[in-house]
Amino acid sequence: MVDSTVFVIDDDEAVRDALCELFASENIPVRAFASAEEFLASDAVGSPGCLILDLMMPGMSGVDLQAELVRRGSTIPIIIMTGQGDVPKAVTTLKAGAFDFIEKPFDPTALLKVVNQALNREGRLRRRYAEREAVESRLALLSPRERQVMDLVVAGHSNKVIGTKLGISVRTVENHRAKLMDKMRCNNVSSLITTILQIKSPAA
Amino acid sequence: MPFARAVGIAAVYLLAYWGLDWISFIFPAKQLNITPWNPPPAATVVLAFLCGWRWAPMFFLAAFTSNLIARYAPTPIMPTVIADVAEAVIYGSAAVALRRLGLRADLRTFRDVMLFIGVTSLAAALMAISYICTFWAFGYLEPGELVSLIFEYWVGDMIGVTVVAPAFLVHRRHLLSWEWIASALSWEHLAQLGAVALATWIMFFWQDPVVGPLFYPLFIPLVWVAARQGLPGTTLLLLLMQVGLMGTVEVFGISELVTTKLQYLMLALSWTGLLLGAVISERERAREATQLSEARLKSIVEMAPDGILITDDRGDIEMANRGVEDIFGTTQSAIVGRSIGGVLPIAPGDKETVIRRPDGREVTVEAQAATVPIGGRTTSVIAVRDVTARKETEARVRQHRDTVEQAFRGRLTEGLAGALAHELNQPLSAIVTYTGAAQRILATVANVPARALEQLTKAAAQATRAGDIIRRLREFFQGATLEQAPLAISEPIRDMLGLLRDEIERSGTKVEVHVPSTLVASADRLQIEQVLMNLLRNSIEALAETPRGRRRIVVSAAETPEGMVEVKIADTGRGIDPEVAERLFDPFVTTSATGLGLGLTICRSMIEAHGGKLWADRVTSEGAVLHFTLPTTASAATERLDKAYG
Repeated sequence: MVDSTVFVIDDDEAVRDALCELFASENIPVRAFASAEEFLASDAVGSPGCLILDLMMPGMSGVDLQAELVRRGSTIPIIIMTGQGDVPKAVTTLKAGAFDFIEKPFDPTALLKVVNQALNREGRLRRRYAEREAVESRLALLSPRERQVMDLVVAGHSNKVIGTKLGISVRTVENHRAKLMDKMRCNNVSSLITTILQIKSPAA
Repeated sequence: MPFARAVGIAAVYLLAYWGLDWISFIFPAKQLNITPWNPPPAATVVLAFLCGWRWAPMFFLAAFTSNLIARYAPTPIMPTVIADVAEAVIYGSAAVALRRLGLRADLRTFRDVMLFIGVTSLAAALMAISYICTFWAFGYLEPGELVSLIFEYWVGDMIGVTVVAPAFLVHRRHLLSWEWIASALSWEHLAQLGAVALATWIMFFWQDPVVGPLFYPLFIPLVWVAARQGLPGTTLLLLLMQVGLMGTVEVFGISELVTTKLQYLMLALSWTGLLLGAVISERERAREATQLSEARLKSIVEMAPDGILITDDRGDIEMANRGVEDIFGTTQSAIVGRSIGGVLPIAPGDKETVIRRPDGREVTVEAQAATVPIGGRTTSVIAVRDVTARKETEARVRQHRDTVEQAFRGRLTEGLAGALAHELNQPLSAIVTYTGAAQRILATVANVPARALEQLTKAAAQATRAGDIIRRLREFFQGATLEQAPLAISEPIRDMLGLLRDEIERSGTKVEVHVPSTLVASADRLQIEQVLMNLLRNSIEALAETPRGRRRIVVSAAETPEGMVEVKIADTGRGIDPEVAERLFDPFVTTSATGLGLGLTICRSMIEAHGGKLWADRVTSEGAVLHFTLPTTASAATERLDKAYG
């Protein structure tokens, strides 16, 4: 798993530098960009982590960058830094899906807390996404007959009932069942059910 | 001259000549046809004077034929022909000489009359000498009687010319006008005629017809007419008197001796009358001219748009025109006679003052005075102009300008606070963050003095406090809310150009405006006025280095395809410094020595608050071009804001 990185985008060099120092002191990987354009041009887009974004920048503004990322389908959490008096603008960014906003000058501890929350959620999301992908790839390995058997097992039927329903012998059902449990990397029925439910639940 | 007209003139002349000769042919002396009065030469003088020399043959023809037609006692043929040639030449020359000397046909002036009498006297004298000497040369006369005959002849011609020619010349234009004849019928004229008749009666019938002192009553009607009717009346009266006298002489058989004596007196009377009439006429004309020019001046003064007061040397008002009535709200008669200081209280050296009208209104007036010495007196002419309306307009413009500038100063403090907050928040954020990072690093190290960590905490707290102060400052200056309403964009443009007129004129800048009056934006008028004022001022300042003839600002507006109103302000100034162009709208960026560099920042924030945009064109050497857009309707504004912020 790739380490989550905090991406800092601010036109003020001192602010960038201080934030880098802060996250470094907590051993959080951090990368800083002087403008939205610089960030978009880098390989950082799509990397795991979270974004700390200054709202007021010359050139492409924080709002514009947020819109651009949404357009590209990025789900990276965005923490907005605002100057004072920009609160109404910050609220619109929240409506557009920003994770949180903090007003400058901010308390470093509070910022770290928000960043950690964002990273956690991002990590969680990413993990769940990875698990779901793994289950789906395993499901893809199943033959149609094995898939039918699995569905009936998850529905809670006995081997005998399954055999009757599918018009095959109990022996054959047991063979399919052993193969599919192997392919799904499950030891027992309860772990199989958990795995399947995982992909049916909503992402969040 | 058309032939018909020439024939007409010739006919009239001949008839007049013959007629005059016939009517005056009485008491011909010594078969020489020397009569007491001989008016035919008057016809020649008139025709020669009016029509010139080329009629000379006519003159001779008239004189010669008249001998045959009008006179019952013809003279010997040879001397008569010679005398007739002499008459044509002498009177023709006299008339032409009068023309050359500038005599006016209507004998306008005293000089004209003197000239006429002088030249005709000379001509008559020459004629008399020629006539008598011719007949003497042919042996009809003795040398002894020549002088008295010459004198007699002279008097006859002289009286004839003097009485007839001026009357015809003066009245020639209306001789046949019924209107004039009708207008001449008045009681006064009848009374004058009566006086003449009475004087004539006294002269002839009071006692024996002995002409002597009794002639003088004739002067009375003459003076009367001359004084009242001037030369025109006098000429007619003299003609009438002459005809009347001769008629009386003929009808009542007055003796030849008396008649001749009468003619001497009549000649004196004629000259007196003509000169007196001329003087009176001249006076009268001068008086009329003065009256006319006075009336003209008066009407000019009356009609003048300003109030005009004229004072005498004591400062009392002698005259006030209608303009004064309008301004002072009172009548002319209420002002005339008062002292100027009481009517128009104005401090010396001051040009303006406020007067209180009787209706209570206060009027600001501007006064200008000129002192004119007239005939040893000092007259002051004071022109007063009501400048109340102008003052009010000026005040209104000043007030409007103050409002816009005041509002912008408010914006400026707000913008300053905002810009300061933004600029200071960055370093403050950095301080707090650095301190936090340092604390965290130190926390992992053993043996760090607790006081050091504590001081770092305090430092962070102070930085946070500084942030709070800035926040409060900013909240304190938080500006007014936006009040968007439909606004014809041409109006604030026109108004702001009006407010800046002084600057524009002083800098000699030409301003072109291409803004359709139908273009309506949804905007806060006061804020748009501030933006326009700022942009226009920037343009005017940018033109300072441009040569005067090339200073130009073009303001245009149009609707964009996106349904926004776009206003464009272009100037021919120094343009935008490329170094500054990138950060033109950032706070504290300025090319002006006096500016704060917040104007454009604030303008942009105001325009953006409307849902519009403010930007500058790429730099050219042609000067700067700034654009801003505004939504056309309120809903469009919201829509755009929503789009911008999701």
